Amino acid sequence: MQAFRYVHNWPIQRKLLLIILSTIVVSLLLVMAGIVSYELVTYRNRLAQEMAKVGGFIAANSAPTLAFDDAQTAQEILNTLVGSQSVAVAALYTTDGRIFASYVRPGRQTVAVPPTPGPDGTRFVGRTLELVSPVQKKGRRLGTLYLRADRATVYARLAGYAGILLVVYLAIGGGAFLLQRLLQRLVSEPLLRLSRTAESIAGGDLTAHVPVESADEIGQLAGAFNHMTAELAHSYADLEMRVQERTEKLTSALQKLRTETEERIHAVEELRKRERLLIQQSRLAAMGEMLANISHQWRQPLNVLGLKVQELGLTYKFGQLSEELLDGNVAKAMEIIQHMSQTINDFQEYLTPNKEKTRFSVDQVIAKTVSLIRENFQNQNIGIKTISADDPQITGFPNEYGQVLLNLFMNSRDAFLERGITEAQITVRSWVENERAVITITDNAGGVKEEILDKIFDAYFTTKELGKGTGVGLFMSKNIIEQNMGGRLSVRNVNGGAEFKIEV
Amino acid sequence: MRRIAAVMGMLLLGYTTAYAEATEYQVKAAMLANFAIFVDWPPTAFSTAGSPFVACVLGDDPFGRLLEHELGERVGSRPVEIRYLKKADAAAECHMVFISRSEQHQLKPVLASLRKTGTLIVSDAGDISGFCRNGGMIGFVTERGKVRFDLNANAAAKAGLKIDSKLKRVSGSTECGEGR
Repeated sequence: MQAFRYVHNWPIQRKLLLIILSTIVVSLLLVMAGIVSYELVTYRNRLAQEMAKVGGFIAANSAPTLAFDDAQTAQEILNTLVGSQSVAVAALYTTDGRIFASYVRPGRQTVAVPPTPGPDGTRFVGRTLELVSPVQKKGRRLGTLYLRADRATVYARLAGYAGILLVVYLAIGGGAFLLQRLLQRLVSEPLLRLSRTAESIAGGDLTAHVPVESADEIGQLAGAFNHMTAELAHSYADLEMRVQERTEKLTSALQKLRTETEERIHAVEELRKRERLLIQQSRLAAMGEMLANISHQWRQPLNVLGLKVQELGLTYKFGQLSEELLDGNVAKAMEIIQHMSQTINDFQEYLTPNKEKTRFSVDQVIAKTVSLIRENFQNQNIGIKTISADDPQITGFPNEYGQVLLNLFMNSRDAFLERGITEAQITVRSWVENERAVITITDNAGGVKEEILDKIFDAYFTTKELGKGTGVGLFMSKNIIEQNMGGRLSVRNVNGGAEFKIEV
Repeated sequence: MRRIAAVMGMLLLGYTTAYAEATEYQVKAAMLANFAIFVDWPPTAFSTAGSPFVACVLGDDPFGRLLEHELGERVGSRPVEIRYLKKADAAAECHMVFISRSEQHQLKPVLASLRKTGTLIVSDAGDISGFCRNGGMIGFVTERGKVRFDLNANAAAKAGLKIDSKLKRVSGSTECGEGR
């Protein structure tokens, strides 16, 4: 157990060497043990067989020498036994028991040749085998052969095997060195490389790579290892990339959110500013318009007033100034001044926004608006025709409504002037449709270009010359009708003109 | 009785004295018996499986009972029959013929009549090389008082006889009558 634990910590190369060498040594020892036991177990039989064979040969060859009393040839025949390792003693006896010829293996001269052969047969005496065989021909006995064998052969063979074993072990000892080098190259080095790579990967180097040099288990391991490392590197890179992506996305989303919020706040502020500006602008515009209209309204009464005042002066000079005339002219002048004052009141009232919704007649608002501009429009040769039906009633803000109408009339007038239209005509129609009060204001000024038809209600959109239009009028009109009164303001082109339609 | 006693005496002598000291014909008889076991005859040399092995002595018999004694009752599985012949014509059924010295003056015609398949021709005639040249197969020679033999392997092979190669090793020569 101690030894096993000691070997346990050896490098693989040495373990393999140990396994291989011990396998070889043990198998050789087993083979040798087998051979030795086989030799020891079977040598008697083999020796007996060998002796029988040798005996048969010697007997056959020596038969004529016994028959014809040729002791010299018999001796020559026995001497050939020097080539046999087994036979230690051999002798030929005549039929009357005399020693005819004998042989003792060189180096064994101390062994005596028995004076008589003894009975025929094979027998073991101690460690030696004795063979006594008759020499005969055609059933006739010519003499007796005596052979004695010992274990020298077995020992000689075992010594031979031991020599072979020794040589083989020496060869293994030499081969072990070469084997170790080979194992180092085939097993240890690839494993060490693998181990070093594993260490560098553990140290964080995901680019580490093991060269795959063989298709064996180590090669497969190296391949799997490389694959694993590549996967690891890939996963790691992928993970980092994803984290980065997410971070970037979050950052940009946050940035976008901030920008959007700022933009919205900014837009809302802008919108408020613009609205305030618009309201101011539209008021100024309306006041301008009103001033123009008032000036038109006042021109004729001012002329009349002037005439009445001049008449007073002239009649006085010529002494024709009567009390009657004076009273009459003063009354007339006062009436005119009253009228002019009324006109200002009318305009003032018209421009004051209604505070509460009231029910009002659309036709009345039309009539009032037309009366404000009729004089002005007549001077510019623009005719206004009113066609009313159903006397539609609306709940809302009559002044604002009137301002919208005024705006639309002004719009048409601008178009007429700009395009130099003669026989300019504005037709105002009013009726009830599906319980809604409908007004159309139609002119013959050529209409709105199709490509800008859906833009004319946008704030600051204008087709007029620089300095003339503000682009606020139609936008404010749409606002008043749709936002304040829940109605609809639309435009379309009809028979060489534009038709604005208000539905409330 | 005297003769039997003499033979018995010789037999006893043969068994008790050294081989080399045995009488000349005692040795030759033993050798003839051994030739019978170291030579194989063709199957055609025997009419049946139980046919006897026929050993013949042509001319004066120098062996007496010695040959009978050395050959024993059987050669291999065959019973032994010994014939003593006066004329070569009677040797037709012989498997082995020993030509006695009494016939050496007419060796040539005797051999001519004996030369047939399946007969081993042995002799101790004086002119062994002449004997071999004319078809003799085994000739006894005595060198320094010891009986030996020469082989005419070629003639034996021609007669269909198969001589054990180990026999050739103990023979003086295997080319008796050839190359001379």
